[in-house]
Amino acid sequence: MKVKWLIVGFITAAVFLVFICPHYFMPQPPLTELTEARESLSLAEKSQASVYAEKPYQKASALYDSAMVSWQHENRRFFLSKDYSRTKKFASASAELAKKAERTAISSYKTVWANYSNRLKKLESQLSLFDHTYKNVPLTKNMIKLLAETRLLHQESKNALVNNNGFLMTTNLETLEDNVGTLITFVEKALQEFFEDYPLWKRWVANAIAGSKRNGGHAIIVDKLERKCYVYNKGKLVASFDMELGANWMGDKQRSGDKTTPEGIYKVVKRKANGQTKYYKALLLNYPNEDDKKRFKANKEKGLIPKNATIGNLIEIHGDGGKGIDWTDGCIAITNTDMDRVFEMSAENTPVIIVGALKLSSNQQ
Amino acid sequence: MKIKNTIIGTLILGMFVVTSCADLPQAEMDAAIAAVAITKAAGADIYVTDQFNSLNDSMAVAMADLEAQKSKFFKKYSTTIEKFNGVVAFAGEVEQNTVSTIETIKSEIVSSTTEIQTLVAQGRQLMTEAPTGKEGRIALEAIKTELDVVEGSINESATMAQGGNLKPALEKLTAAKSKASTINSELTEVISKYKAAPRR
Repeated sequence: MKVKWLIVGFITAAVFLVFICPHYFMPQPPLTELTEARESLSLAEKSQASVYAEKPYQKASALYDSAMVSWQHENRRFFLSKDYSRTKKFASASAELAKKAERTAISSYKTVWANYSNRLKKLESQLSLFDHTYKNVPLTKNMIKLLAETRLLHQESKNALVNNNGFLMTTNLETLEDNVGTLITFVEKALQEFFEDYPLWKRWVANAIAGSKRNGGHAIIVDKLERKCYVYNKGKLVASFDMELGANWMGDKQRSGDKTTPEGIYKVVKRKANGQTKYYKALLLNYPNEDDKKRFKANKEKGLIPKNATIGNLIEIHGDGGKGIDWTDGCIAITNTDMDRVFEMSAENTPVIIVGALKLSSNQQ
Repeated sequence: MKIKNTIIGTLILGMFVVTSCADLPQAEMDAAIAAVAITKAAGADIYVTDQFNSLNDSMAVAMADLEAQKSKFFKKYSTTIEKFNGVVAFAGEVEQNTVSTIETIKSEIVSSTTEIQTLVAQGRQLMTEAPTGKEGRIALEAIKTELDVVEGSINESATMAQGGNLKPALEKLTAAKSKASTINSELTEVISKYKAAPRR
């Protein structure tokens, strides 16, 4: 009887112990590991790991979910048979990976944004070429539209850089790079064609300067690309002026109304004083010369220009320039002050050499 | 023997009664889950991302607390209920903030659109003031194209906004507004150059 009561007492004590200190008898969930995993994931998300360390972050999240599922599974089991080892394993792995994702995200963020910034700087520099180096290259309507769209997209991307908008940066930069590439290719092709006559221009200019030296007279050299008008006397450069041309200045003049300044060896045939021209003062050139006439005829025969086109005339160096844009119909416009000087230095038959460029552009060298 | 069995039976029954007396806060948990889903549907993850992430963190804490209670011998869900209720309340705040952020963006879209339209109209007016004819025609053509592109971005932005992409729509307009201002400044400069240049 005593033994029986001892057994009952033992069981009762055991049950009471279980009631009073259950954690000594029941397996405990890995709360520390789970909390650490959760907090690590939260910190990783704050560092935008879901964007900049996508794979480790997603894996860490999946491991945390597995830990939770495993925990729920164990919680459904009888209290003495619960085993949280898998839960702990998942939670620990999740915490470790989340920390790694956070570190990767911080480092990737810096790299990615430095890359965005560099690409945007490069694009900015390429676009700025259209404000100076390529400013004078005539663009087609489509290219003008593309340039306008690209400039707007560039503005959007600059804002996105300031606002840390990674998604917009990625999509915009790709489009921007494509657009700028198209624009530059177009301009470079135009420049390449433009420079085809460069050896000829060089020869014309050298001969004109040599002639000025030989004859002791003046020679006017016009550099269309640089928008510069140079005056030589006795073979020496004595003055240079800024100038403006027609909107479609690139290439040689083909016909009347094409707003192109002809390229060739010309001479002053008439000096128009103030009152004789609507552009202050003017030096009328002998355009079209014999070469121009021959080329015009040949181009017409080849069908390169319309049959009813005329060759044009009245190409002058005149005043009223200084507007800052190309506005003439093919004439060369300089400021009135500069016109006064050129007018003084020139006479009838003064050679005027008009060339596309005096020196090759950096990308043509 | 009978007494012993009675005692053991009572103890075991008592254990079950004590350990099973706490009900799972299913209703509170469901309410919290629904509240988080509602904030997401409202666009909290896009418009108030940080708050939405905090809300998810709170939900994760509540879920962990639920499991922690489930793991215990003596279950007590009062703190879990508090946490789920806290999530519901926080979700309400986040949803409200989402709605107000969306409203702010919408109103910014409207005001930016109006500003751009005004700037474009000003630009077009400036173009009529610029000298016509051969002088500067190409330059003005380029500026006109830029104004057209800016104006086109209003339509693009409207399409984006209609598609629910409010943030990108506003970003597009912000850039367009800035560009329109620049164009008008350039146009004014071109006109003033024309006016300043000696003319006969």
